[in-house]
Amino acid sequence: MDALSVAKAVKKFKEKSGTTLALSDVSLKISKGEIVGLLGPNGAGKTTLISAICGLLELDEGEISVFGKNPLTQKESVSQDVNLVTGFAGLLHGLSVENLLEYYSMLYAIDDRKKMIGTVLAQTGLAEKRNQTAQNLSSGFKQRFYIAKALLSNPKLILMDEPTVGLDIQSAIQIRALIKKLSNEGKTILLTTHYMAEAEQLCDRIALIRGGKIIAFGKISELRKLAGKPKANLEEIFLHLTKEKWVEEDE
Amino acid sequence: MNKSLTRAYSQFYKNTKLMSQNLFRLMDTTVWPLTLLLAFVFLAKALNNDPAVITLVVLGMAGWQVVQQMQMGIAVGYMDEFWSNSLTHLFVSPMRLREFVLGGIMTGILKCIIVIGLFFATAHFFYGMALPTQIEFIAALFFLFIFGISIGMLNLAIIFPHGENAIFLVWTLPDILVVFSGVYYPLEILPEPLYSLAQLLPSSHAFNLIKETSGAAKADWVAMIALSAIWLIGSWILLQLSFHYAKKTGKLVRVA
Repeated sequence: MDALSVAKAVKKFKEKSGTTLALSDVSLKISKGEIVGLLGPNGAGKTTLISAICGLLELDEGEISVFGKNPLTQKESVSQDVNLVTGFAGLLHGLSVENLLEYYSMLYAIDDRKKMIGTVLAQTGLAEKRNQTAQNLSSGFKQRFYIAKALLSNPKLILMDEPTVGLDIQSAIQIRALIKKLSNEGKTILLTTHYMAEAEQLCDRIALIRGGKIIAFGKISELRKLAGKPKANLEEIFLHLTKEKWVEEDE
Repeated sequence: MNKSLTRAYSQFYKNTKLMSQNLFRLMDTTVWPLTLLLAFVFLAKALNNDPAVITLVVLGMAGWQVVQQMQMGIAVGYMDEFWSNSLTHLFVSPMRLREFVLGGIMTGILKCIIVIGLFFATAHFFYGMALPTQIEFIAALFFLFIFGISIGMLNLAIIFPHGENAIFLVWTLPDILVVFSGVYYPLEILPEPLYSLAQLLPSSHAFNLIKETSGAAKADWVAMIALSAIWLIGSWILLQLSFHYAKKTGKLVRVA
C-alpha cells in the first residue's frame, strides 16, 4: 500500500476575477519511508495539494488516499496518520511550549501525554524551552516546535510546508538534520521548499509542479534525463522544466 | 476519558489556561457584566425605586448573561486561534465540529457560573437579594443556555465562510437579539412587526418566564420548547453546511 496516493486531482477556485485552476489532473504516489519534494513557483498549487491531503479542502475531481484512507470521509483516522509542519501558521498566543504541547496532545487524544511530550521535546531539542512562551521562541525554535507538535501523534506521514523558510543557516541545517533523522526512523515525508539545495540533499524523489500540474516526477537522475541536462543541478533542471522566462532568455 | 471527550476537553483546557494566565481576559466575565449590572440597577432605582422592578432587572441581566457567555464560550475558542493565525493546527487535527462545540459549551458553563455567582453576590450585598430558586427562573436559564449555544453555533456558521470580517458579529448579534428578547421590558412595548419577530425567538419566551415569577407576564412553554429545539437543530445544521461549504470553496484554507 502506498503511503500517499493522489489520483487525477482537480481543484478550481471561483473568484470575482474568474476561475483559477489550482490543481489540474495531479497524480502522485509516495511509498512508505520516502522523502518526496514538491517544488514549484509561488502559486503553483503546492499548498492547495497539501491542504487537500490534510482534509482541509475538498477536491472537485479525483481522489486522495492516505494509507488507503480518504482524508475527507475518514478524517479522524487519517488525522492520526498524518500531521503537518508549516512555517506559515502561527502559534497560539499566551501558552508555554509545554502547555501548548499538552493542548495539542489532547486534540490528538494521546494516551500517555506526559511521556509523549517529554519524548518530542527531547527529539526536537526543545526540552530547555518547555516553560518559555511558545510565541516568543526564535524562528528556528518555532520550527522545532511545529515538528514537535507534528510528532506528538506519532504520524506515519508528515507534510512539511517550507519548514526552513526564513531560518538562518545554522537553524536550517539543524532542521534538515532532524528531517533526515525522522526519515531514517521510517517516517514518510512530503516536503515543499523553494531551496533547491535542500530538496537535492533531502529528497529521494522530486515532483515539479507548475500551474497546478505535475510536470515532472522522479529521482534527480531521472529529472536530469528528462531535461536533457546530464550534469545540471536541481536548480537548473527546475528552471528548465518549469520554463521560467529568464532562463529561456538566457538560453 | 474517551478520545472524543478528550478532544472536546482540549478546548476547555485551552480557554481556561488562557483565562488564568491573563487577568485581562477575565474582564468579560467579571468587570463588564458587573458594571453593566450596577449601571442598570442604579438607573432602575433612580427612575422607580421599586424592589420588584430592580429584581426583574437583575434576573433579566443574569438571564441575558447566560446567552452572552455561552455564545462567547463557543466563539472564543475559534477567535483565539484566528488571532494567533494557528487555525491550521486545529483544522488538521482529528477534532470534529461537535467536539469543538462541546468544548465551547464546557467553557461557557464555567463562564456562566462565574458571572451568575458574581451577579447574585453583588445583588445580595447591595439589595439583600437572594438567589432565586423558583422553577420558572431555573427553567428560563436552561432555555437561555440552549439559546446561547444556538447563537454560538450560528456565529461560527457565519464566520467559517466569511472569515475575519464576520468576527465582529460575535459581539453584534447578541446586541441585536437583546432588543427583541424583552430582557428589561414587556414584549408588548415592541411595535409591529418587531413584536411578531420577537415571538420567533426562544429567548423572548424565556424572559417571559422570568417575568412570570413576579406576575409581570405569562410564558408560552410550548413555543419556548419548540423554538429552542428549532434554533438548536437549525444552527447545528447550518454550522455543518457552512463548514462543508468553507472546505469546498477553499475559504477554510484561506482563513486557516
